[in-house]
Amino acid sequence: MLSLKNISKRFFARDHVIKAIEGISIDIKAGEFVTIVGPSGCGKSTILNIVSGLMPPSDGTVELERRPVHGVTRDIGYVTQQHNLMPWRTLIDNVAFPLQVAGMAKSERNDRANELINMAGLAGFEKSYPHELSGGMCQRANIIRTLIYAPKVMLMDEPFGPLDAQTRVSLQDQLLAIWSRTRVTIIFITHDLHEAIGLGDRVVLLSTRPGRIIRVDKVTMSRPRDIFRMHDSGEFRALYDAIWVELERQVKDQKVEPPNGSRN
Amino acid sequence: MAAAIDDLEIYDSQAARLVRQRYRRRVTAGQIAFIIGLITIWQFGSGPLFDPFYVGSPVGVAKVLINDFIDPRFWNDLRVTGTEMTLGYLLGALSGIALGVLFARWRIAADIFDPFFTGLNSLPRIALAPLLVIWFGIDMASKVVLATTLVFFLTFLTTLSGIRNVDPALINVARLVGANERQIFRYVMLPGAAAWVINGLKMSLPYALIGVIVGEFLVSSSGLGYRLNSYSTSYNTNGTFAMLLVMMALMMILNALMGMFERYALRWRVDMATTIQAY
Repeated sequence: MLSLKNISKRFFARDHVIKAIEGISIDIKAGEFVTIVGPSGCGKSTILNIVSGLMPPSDGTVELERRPVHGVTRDIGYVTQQHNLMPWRTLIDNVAFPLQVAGMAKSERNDRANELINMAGLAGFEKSYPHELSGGMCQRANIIRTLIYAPKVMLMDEPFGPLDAQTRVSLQDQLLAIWSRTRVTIIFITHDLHEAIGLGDRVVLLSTRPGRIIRVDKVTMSRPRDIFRMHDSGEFRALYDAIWVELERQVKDQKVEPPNGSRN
Repeated sequence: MAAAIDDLEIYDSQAARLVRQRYRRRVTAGQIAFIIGLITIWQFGSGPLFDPFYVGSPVGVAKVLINDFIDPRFWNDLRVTGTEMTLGYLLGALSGIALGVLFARWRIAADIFDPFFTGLNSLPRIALAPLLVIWFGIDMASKVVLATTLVFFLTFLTTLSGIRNVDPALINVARLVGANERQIFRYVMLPGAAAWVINGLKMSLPYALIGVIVGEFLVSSSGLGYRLNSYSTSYNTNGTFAMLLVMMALMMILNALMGMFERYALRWRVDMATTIQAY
């Protein structure tokens, strides 16, 4: 349904070329939950920036339902690591924003937004501004702002990265619940292997820069999964250890670079 | 500062509020004591300590004010200055915002004109006043234009910076959900720049009065600046002080109104007032 065909991206610095990602190819089925894990600076975010249409690839093509993606499209939603809510809009106005852009009447879009706000446990905060909400609440709002216009594909870039451990697990659980209901196709990026295995149908492991796909593992654990307990299961451990050996090697190989040089 | 934070953490909220209230009352009491002390020293020092010719006295200033308040010519002067200021401010602010918005969207024009605007802005605008009198005459128009040039640059520059400083991530969000350029401008750029624009409007407010008063100093037959000038050239110190007080009061009222507008328009922002109070 979504195909990345031999995607590469190069950036031109003043006196040298930086290869961010190289030869990324993967086919994703409709309704699949794919997680991408890799060491920091491996170009994970670059992949999503390209798939979302915000950034053109240097080589290769992205195809959605056999049609090439050029530029942004409402078929592909993007949940960024920062919540990027508009600080001057209330929670409900932020969530309903994609519908407002589409020209839907206020009462109708607020009805739809209220449904999602209730589902995400944000009821009672509709009229709050982002600075009055916690990080976890803002991130939930960010996710339902994307869900509200029902894109076929949802890209998620470490959406739970900045949150504390308990909030993370609880949001992972909610995300799985939402996904099992909507069956939206998800590409989810994380540097946390627990999260990658816990959520995904398949786990894609990237190398250090330039990011290449090193291995792809199917997660065979049955659904619905108990995200709170699953880490104890033997199946989880086996897969975790297998991927970890590889990830560890990548992390150790990584050259230490100045912070501004390692942005992905 | 740190001690205050500790205090807040130790006291329950009711006690913390009492501490804060008591503190604010002390600040107010100190302010009242200061102004009473100043007026007392001024009143009773004028004569024995200072030459009244140079410093006047509070009672003398009050007499001038009372006389002026029952003099229709004073109200006419206030009206003239008020009209010039309002026109100058509105013209300057509207043209500044409009051109700021235009240049923010039309990059090459902004880059072409950038050095010329910097040059014009470096020019002490007050020095333009004589030229403006030649061009626009000795009546209201020259004062309005002088105030306009002062207000224009501040609102223009803040609007331009405001729109350019809108978080690109928010623009991307709008683009991703399918917003067109017009929608991005309306829903992201304008509200994102609002804080900057309002800041420019606030900063340029006193300049509208400065432009008008300087214009009236130079040549005029009415207005607060004219009145101030005629008091001072006739060595009426009390009258001069009285006019300064009137201008100060006018400015404080306008600032307070602007503050109310700002708090309303930017109500989505972290409330700085309460944050500072809490610490």
